[in-house]
Parts: sequence; C-alpha cells; structure tokens
Amino acid sequence: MTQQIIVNSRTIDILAVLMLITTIILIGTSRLRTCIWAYACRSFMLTLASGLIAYFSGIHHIYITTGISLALKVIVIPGFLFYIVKKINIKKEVESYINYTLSLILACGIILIAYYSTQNIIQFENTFMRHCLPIALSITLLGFFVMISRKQAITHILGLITMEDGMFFAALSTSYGMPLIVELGLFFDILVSVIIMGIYVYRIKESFDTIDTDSLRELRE
Amino acid sequence: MTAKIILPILQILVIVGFSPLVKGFINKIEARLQCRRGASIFQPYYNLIKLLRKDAVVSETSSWIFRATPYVTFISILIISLLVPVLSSQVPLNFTGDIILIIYLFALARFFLVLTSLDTGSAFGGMGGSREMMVSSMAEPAMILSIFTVALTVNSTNLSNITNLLLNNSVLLLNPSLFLAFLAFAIVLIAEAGRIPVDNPFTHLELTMIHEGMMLEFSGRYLALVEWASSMKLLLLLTILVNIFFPWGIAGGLTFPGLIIAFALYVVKIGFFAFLIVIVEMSFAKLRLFRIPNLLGTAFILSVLAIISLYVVR
Repeated sequence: MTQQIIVNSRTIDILAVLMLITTIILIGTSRLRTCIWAYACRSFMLTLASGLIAYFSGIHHIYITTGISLALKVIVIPGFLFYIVKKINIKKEVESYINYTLSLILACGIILIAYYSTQNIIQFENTFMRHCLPIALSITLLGFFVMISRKQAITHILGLITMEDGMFFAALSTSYGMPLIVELGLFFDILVSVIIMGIYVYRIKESFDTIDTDSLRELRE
Repeated sequence: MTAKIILPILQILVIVGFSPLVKGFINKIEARLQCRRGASIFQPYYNLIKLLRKDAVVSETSSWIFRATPYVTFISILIISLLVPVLSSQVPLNFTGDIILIIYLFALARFFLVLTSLDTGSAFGGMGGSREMMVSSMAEPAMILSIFTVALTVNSTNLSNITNLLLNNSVLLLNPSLFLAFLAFAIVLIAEAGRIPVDNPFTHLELTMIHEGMMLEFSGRYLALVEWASSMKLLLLLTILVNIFFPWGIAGGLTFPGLIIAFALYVVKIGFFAFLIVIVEMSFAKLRLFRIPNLLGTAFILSVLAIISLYVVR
C-alpha cells in the first residue's frame, strides 16, 4: 500500500519535472511557435497531473477542472495564439532584453531559489509529491521572468498564462485544488484576458506595425 | 574461475564486435526514413576491413604522438568497455575503477585526438580540435553532474553497485531527479558521440566538421582504429545510459539463461535508443557552432537541477 502511494506521488513528481522542462524550453527557445507548442505541452502535462491527482485522491470535482483545463489550455488558448501569430504574420522571432544563455542561467537561479525557499515547508510533507510545490513556485516565477525579460507583447501573454499555470498547479498539488467555483472563475478569467490581450496585440500591430513593446513609448507623439 | 574469464571476453565481444553494427543500423534506418536505400547495415565492417588492409600515410612533420594516438584512443575506450556493466551487473575491472575513471578515460582519448589534430599542423585539424574542446568543456560538467546524481541516489560511484541497487529497488528509479539527470545525459550523449544537432558525422565541409576535422590526417589502419574507437564510444555511452537508467533485465549473476535474456533485452534497448537518435537527427538541423552552448547549457542546467533537487527533497 505505502509502495503504491510512493509510486503515485513519484509519477506526479515526474510530470511536474516535465512541466518544468517545458517551461525551460519556453525560456531557451528563440522561436515563437516553439514557445506556443511548449505552452501546449505543459498544459497537457498539467491536465494529466490533475487527472491523476483526481484519480488518486478520489475527489470528483478535480475531474471537472481537468476537463475544462484540457479544453481550454491545451486546445483553445494555444489555438488562439497560433491564430494571432498567423494573422499578424510575425516575421521577427522572440526578442529578449537578455541573451538566451544568460536567461537560462537566471532561470536556473530562479528554480534554485524556489527549491530553497520551499525547503522548510516540504520537509513536513511525508514524501508525498515533494517536488510539486517548488516546481509550481518556480513555474510562477519563470512566467514572471518571461514577462519582464521579453520585448514582444505576445510573449507577455505567454508569461502571464505560465504564471497562472504555476499557481493552478500549486493549489492542485498542495490542497487538491481550490473550490470548484473559484476554479471556474479563474478559467473564465484567463480565457477572457488572453482573448482581450490577443485583440490588443492585433491592434498594436495595426497601429504601430510592430508588437515590440519598446516602441509603445512613441505614443507620446 | 571460468566466469572471471568468460565475462571480460563476452563484454569485449559485445562492445568491440557490435559497435560498427550499431553505427550501420543508425545509418540504415536514417537512410530508410529519408526514402533512400542506404548502405548495407554491415558497411562499417567492410570499411574497417578495407582500411585495415591499407597502408598508413604519415606526414613527415608529425611526431610520435601522431602514431601513438590511434592506439591510445582505442585502448582507453577498450578499457572503458571492461568497466561498464553490459550484460551482467558484474564488471570485470570492478576492483580498479569506477565511473570517475570512465569519464577521465574518455577525456584521455579525446585529449590525444586533439593533440594529434594540432600535431600535423593542418588548418582543419586545428579548427576541429578547438571546436571539440569547446564542446567537451561544456558537455563534460553536465555529464559528470548527471552521473553524480545517480551516484548520490545510491551512495556509490561504482557502476556495478549502482546497477545492482537500482535493479533491486526500482522505486528509486521513479525519482524526478534521476529523470532530470537522464535528460541531461541524453543531450550530452548526442554531443559526445558527435551526432547531428551538435556535429554531423557525415560531412567533410570545413565550416561544420568537428570530430571529422580531427581525423582528416589519419589513413589506413590508424583511421580504422580511430573510427572503430568512435563507434565504440557511441555504443558505450548508450550502454551506460541504458544500464543505469533502465537496468531491467540485466543479469545479476553469471548464469547462462540469465545472460541470454540480458543479451536479448540489451539488443532491444540499444536498438530503441539508436532509433531515438535517428529520430532526433531527422527532426533537427545541425546547430550553428555558437548555438551549441545553448543546447549544452540546457543540459548543464538540467543536471544542476537534478543534483540540487536531490539534495533539497531528500
């Protein structure tokens, strides 16, 4: 029995590590399409993890969240992002204030911080899903980092939904998710915000011929 | 007593004998996937036989290093093949060295190859040598850290112990840290074996070659030895990967049926990973030289995370 619990929690841990790796790919790649693919993959891992958590714990409302997140995060949002990228015909690839090697090193540092700051908390959990909390925290911080360090508006959207993923996973792995109504509200929130931002990106592109947020300062004229 | 004699012979037979086959297999599958017929799977053997028959041409300006290198390279790789558990978790040279020795023997082989590439004074050789050193300076730390992650999990640097322990309690294998270490090691394997995202083993274009650049001056039996050593290196790295991270089926002792099963599973596992290498080669273009640090940096970061997460979550 205990063997089974260890195997279960280790499986979810490995899914968490896969999510972390897709986030690192998001930071390390220079292609916008790869970024969106990485997001879709991570959402799929997240869905898989939440489905497994629902199955292991026997809490039914997590199944509902799993279904919604499968529809929304794996299909709708990446599809919408691909649509925007195609529609505004982005020629330039991802541009960053920091070069890739340095951002990878910084990402490594962020993950180390996440591990060390949760060190005292995870010691109290008895072997159950010990990697999840630090990884959820580091995905949140990495999303924040993507938002700060990238120039294009569309990568800012990716950073924001990465942060949301991290928080969702933190809630899921520490306390089997938030109440259903809160989750539903969050999903709706994220969908609406991605669509609104997508439309904004489109408008920015229309008026300025670029989605580089640096050039937005030219608004003053 | 007979076991002590049979095991080394068996290991050398498997590694030395089958390494050209693995290379031929990879080339064949790759050709088939590109809709070519491709050379025979035994082509590397024909090449080796032909080269061994031919005379070697040695530049007048080169020193003894040039003539010593093929033997040093081949022998150091040969020693590694006695240090790695292949079919049985028992290792012939268990008493004399562990995983750290393996890493340094790889480094020794590479060091002599690079020396030779400088020795003949050819421009391509020097370029290949400096590139090889650049790649290995980034690949080696990642490799060491990822192997140390495994060593820390089982508290031993002895490959025989590592395989035994992981074989007996396979829950240890379901460790996220080991998973990260596995990914890092897989990336490093591609870099060390000189396969496509890092180096193209087929090209002789001066701008892109790394490993081939160092081997340009070799001919005849010297070339055969160096080629053979490089294919053995690929097979050995695959063996380490397979037997550390997926040790199922490896024989614990030295019984005949156990070894047969181990051999069958070994062939399946190596074939699977060789196929994965082909898939990677098919789906990526060779990286520009200055993009290689990104890839290897990722491997390094993965291995650092592996070792740190092991410590924190212990």
